[in-house]
Amino acid sequence: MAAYSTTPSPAVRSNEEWVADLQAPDAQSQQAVADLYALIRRFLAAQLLKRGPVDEAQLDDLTQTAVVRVLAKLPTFRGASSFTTWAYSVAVRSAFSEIRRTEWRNVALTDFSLPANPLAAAVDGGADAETLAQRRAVLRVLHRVISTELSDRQRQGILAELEGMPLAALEEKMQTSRNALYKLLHDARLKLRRGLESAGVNMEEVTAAFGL
Amino acid sequence: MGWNDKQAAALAKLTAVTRPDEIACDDWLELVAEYVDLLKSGREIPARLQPVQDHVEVCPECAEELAALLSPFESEA
Repeated sequence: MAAYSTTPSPAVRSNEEWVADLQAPDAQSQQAVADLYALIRRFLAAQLLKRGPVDEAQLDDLTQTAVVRVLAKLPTFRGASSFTTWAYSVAVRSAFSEIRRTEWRNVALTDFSLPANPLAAAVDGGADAETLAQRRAVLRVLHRVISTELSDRQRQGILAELEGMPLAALEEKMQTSRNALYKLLHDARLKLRRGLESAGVNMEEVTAAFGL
Repeated sequence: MGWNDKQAAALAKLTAVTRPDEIACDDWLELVAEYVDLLKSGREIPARLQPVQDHVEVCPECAEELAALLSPFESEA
């Protein structure tokens, strides 16, 4: 595992002091931004080490982008949490999303297609005949709904999700926002659920059949 | 080729855990810091923050971010 250079702990501030200092003019603001940078860099370094190797330059880039995001969102900080927890939440979304996009940069949505036969997989896992039959019935319905009831974009999104593509990468490739993408996929999942219910399959049966 | 076992189970899970009243990722991000502070301090999670937990059941990315926010971190003040 890589080691990161350490920086001194920034000054401890209350929520109000953070907001005031970050919005203050000149030197006071510069010190607060430097302290915020140091805090976020230490937090991201700790989190990224768990995820995999990342070099100092990449850590600096991710931190810089995260600090810009935090400052841009500062007017939305309501004080419902500590400022640092809030800043970390914005920073981890920023940094992880950037890494996820990079990891999937060379994968195209056209690489994914609906399989002709949903049952080609064994889907057994040592299950008994009744459970296997139930799994197959569920997959047949889901395959039909994906094929005939989802929009092209919904189908594209669901198939990409099944391949493990993160939403951060998917939103970039589909040229949409995170919230709009989530709504698109949520609507698609609701169609899948209604399709199963219309076929007489309830969610408890799905959960039991797949051991979820 | 069809779906492999993992994909078949993932599709089944995505469908089974879907709720009509889910919050989206950006809405989740607006609430998660408060949720994390309450959880870390052992205080009760109010019902209005329950969607934060529900969301991570269907969103592995937000689940990963929540895990990061909940992990011990030496610089916390």
